[in-house]
Amino acid sequence: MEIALRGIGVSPGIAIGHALTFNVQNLDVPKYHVEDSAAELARFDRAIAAVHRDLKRIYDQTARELGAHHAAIIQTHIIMATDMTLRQDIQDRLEAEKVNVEYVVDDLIAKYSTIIENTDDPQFRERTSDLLDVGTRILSKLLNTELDSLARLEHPCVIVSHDLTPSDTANIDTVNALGIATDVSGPTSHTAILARALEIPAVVGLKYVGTHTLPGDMIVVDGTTGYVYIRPSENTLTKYAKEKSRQEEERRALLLVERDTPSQTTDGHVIPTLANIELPVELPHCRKAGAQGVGLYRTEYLFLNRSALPTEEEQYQAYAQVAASMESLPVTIRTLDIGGDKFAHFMSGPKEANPQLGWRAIRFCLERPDIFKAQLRALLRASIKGNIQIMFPMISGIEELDRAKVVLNEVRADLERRSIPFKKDIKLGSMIEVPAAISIADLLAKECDFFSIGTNDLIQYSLAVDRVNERIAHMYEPAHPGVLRMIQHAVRAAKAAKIPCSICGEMAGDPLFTELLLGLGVDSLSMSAVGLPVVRAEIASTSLTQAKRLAKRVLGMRTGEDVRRMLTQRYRGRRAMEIYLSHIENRPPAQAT
Amino acid sequence: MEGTTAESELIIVNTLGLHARPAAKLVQTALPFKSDIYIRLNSHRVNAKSIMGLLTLAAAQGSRLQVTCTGPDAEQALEAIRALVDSGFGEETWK
Repeated sequence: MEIALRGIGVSPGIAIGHALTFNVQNLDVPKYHVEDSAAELARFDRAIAAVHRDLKRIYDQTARELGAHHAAIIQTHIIMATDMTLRQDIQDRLEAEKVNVEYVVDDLIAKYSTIIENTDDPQFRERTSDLLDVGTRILSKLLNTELDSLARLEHPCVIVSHDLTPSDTANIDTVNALGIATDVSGPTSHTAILARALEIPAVVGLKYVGTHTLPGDMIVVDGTTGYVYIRPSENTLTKYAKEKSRQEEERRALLLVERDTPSQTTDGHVIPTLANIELPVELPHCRKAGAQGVGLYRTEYLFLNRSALPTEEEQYQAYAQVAASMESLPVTIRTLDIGGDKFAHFMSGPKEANPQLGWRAIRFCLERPDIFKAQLRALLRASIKGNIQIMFPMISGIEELDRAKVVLNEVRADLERRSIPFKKDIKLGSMIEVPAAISIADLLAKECDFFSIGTNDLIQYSLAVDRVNERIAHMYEPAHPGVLRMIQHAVRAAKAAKIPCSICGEMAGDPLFTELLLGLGVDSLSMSAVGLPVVRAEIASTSLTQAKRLAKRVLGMRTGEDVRRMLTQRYRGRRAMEIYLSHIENRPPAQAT
Repeated sequence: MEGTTAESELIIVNTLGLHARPAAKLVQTALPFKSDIYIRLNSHRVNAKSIMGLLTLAAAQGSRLQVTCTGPDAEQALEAIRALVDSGFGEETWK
C-alpha cells in the first residue's frame, strides 16, 4: 500500500529511487561471551583508528567547504572518540564482564548520556546528540555496517532518516544521493540549507517517514510540494516519473538559453535577475544558473546552528568571499534578521507569544549594538572587495532607519580613525515588508538608495495570515489585490524618488507573477538560484508594454482568485506558444528523396 | 606526582554551560600539561583531560568548579584553564 506523507519541502525538485534508511536508533547490537578481552580491546582500538581517519577527512572537507566554525564540531567528535576515560572504562569492563566490545560501547555511551540527560538544566538534556553521533560511528565500524557515512553510497538512492547531523550532510555523496526525507528539522536547519545549496530535492519535518520506510523501499520525494510517497502505486510512480523528466528537460533547455546575457524583455528592457543566498557555498550554483548578482544575502545563517556569535573576522571573510566572487555585480547583504521563526541560542530571551511581531531583525540589532556594529564593520571592510550594498530588514518607521544610520556612521568614523579602507559611498536600502513601510514609502524613499520588497513577510503581515497555521494557510495569497496594490504603491514611491525597487520574496521566483511584477514597474527580481532559468525565460518572452497593460487590468480586479485565474491563463498560453516555436525550430530539415 | 599543587574555584560563565564544544576546548587546553588536572563539582570528580568525564559533570552556567592541578607545571596549567573558563570559552555569556 502506498503511504503519502506531507512535510516541508526545503529543496525543490523530484527524486525517485530506493530508500537508504539512515536511522541511528536502529543499530542492532548483539551481546555474547568473549574470553580474550585483550583481543576485544584491540578491535576497539582498530575501530577508533578508523573513526579517527574518517572524522579527520570530514573535518578537512568541512573546513574547506563550510569554514572553520562548522568544522569545530567535528573536532569535538574526534576528541570524544579518542577519549582516555572511554578507553579505560571499556578496558575495565571487558576484563570484568568478558563480553563483546560493541555491547560495552553501546552500554557505556547510553550510560554517559543518561547521566547528562538526568541533570536539571534543560540546555544539557538536548546536548547528547554529539555523544550519540560518535557512539554510532564507533559501533558502525565494529559491526561492519556502512551506515556511518553518506560519503560513499554504493548506488543511487534516496536518504531516509530521522534526522541528519551537520556532519552527515556536509559529507553527503552528491552523485548518488538523489533526495532526502527526514522526520524532524525545519527550513533553517543545516540539512535544508545544504540540500538547497547542493540542489538535492529534500523534504523535512515528515514525522513518520523513518518509521514507515524499510530499506530498499521505492520512494518518491517532491521537494517542491513537500509530498513523500512510500511504496508508491503504479499511478503515482508514472505521474512523478513524467513530471520529473519534464522538469529536468525544461531545466536543461533553460540553462542553455542565453545564460550569460542579461535578461531582457521582447521590447528591449533589461530586467536583472539575481540570486538569494544563505551561505557562500551556494555561489557556484548561482553562477551556473547565471545570476546577475546577489539580491539578498541572508546573513543570519552565519549566526544559526551554533552556540557562539561569529566574530567580525569570520563575518568579514564570508562577506568578502561573496563580494569578490561576484566581481562587479551587485551583492545586497541584509543585516541580521534573527528572531521570529529563526532561532539562535545566544538570543534566547523569554519565549514570545508572537515572535513574528516580536523582538527581531532591526529591532534586535538596535538594542544589541555590540552585535550590530561587528556586522557593520565586517560589511564595510568587505565593501572594497566588490560591489556590496547594505539592506536593513523589517523597517517599520523612519526613526529605525535613522538610528541604524547613526550606528553605521559611528562605525565609519571608527574605521576612518584607524585608517581601515572601506567604500565611502556604499548604498543603503530598506527591506519593504511591514505594511507601515508601504504607507510611508514616499518618506522612506528619500532616505534610501534602494528598496527591496520582501513579499513573504509583507503578505503575512498585510493579510494577517500565519502561513504555518494549517487552518488559514490557504488564505496566504500573493495574488490578493491588497498585496498587489501595496507593491504598486512602493514601486511608485521608489520611482518618484528615482531609486530602484526590487522584489526578493518567493513571488519573485514564481514565473506566474513575472509579467505582472514587470508591469507593476519592478526593476529587478531576486530569487533562489534554482528559479532563475525559468524566470529569465519568462522575461525574455514578455513585452513590457503589454505587461503594463496587464498590470492595469489586474489592479482593477476584485479578488485574488480572479487575478490568479487570469495569470494562469496567460502563463499557459505563453508556454504553449513557446513549445510550439521550439518544436518548429528543432524539426529536422526535410530529407531529399 | 612530583611538583606543586595549585588549586582554585572557577565559575562557568557562558550561557550554555560546559557542553560538548567547551569541554573539547578544555581537554585541548589541559592535554599539553604534564600535571594531573582534576575538576570537582559537588561530589563528582573527573579528569580534565577526558571529555567524557567533563560532559558527565553537566556543569551549567553558574556552576562552581574546584580545579586541582598537581605536577611540575601546576601553576601554568591552572592559569591556562582559568583564562579559558573566565572567557566563557569564547561563547555568549549574556543572559
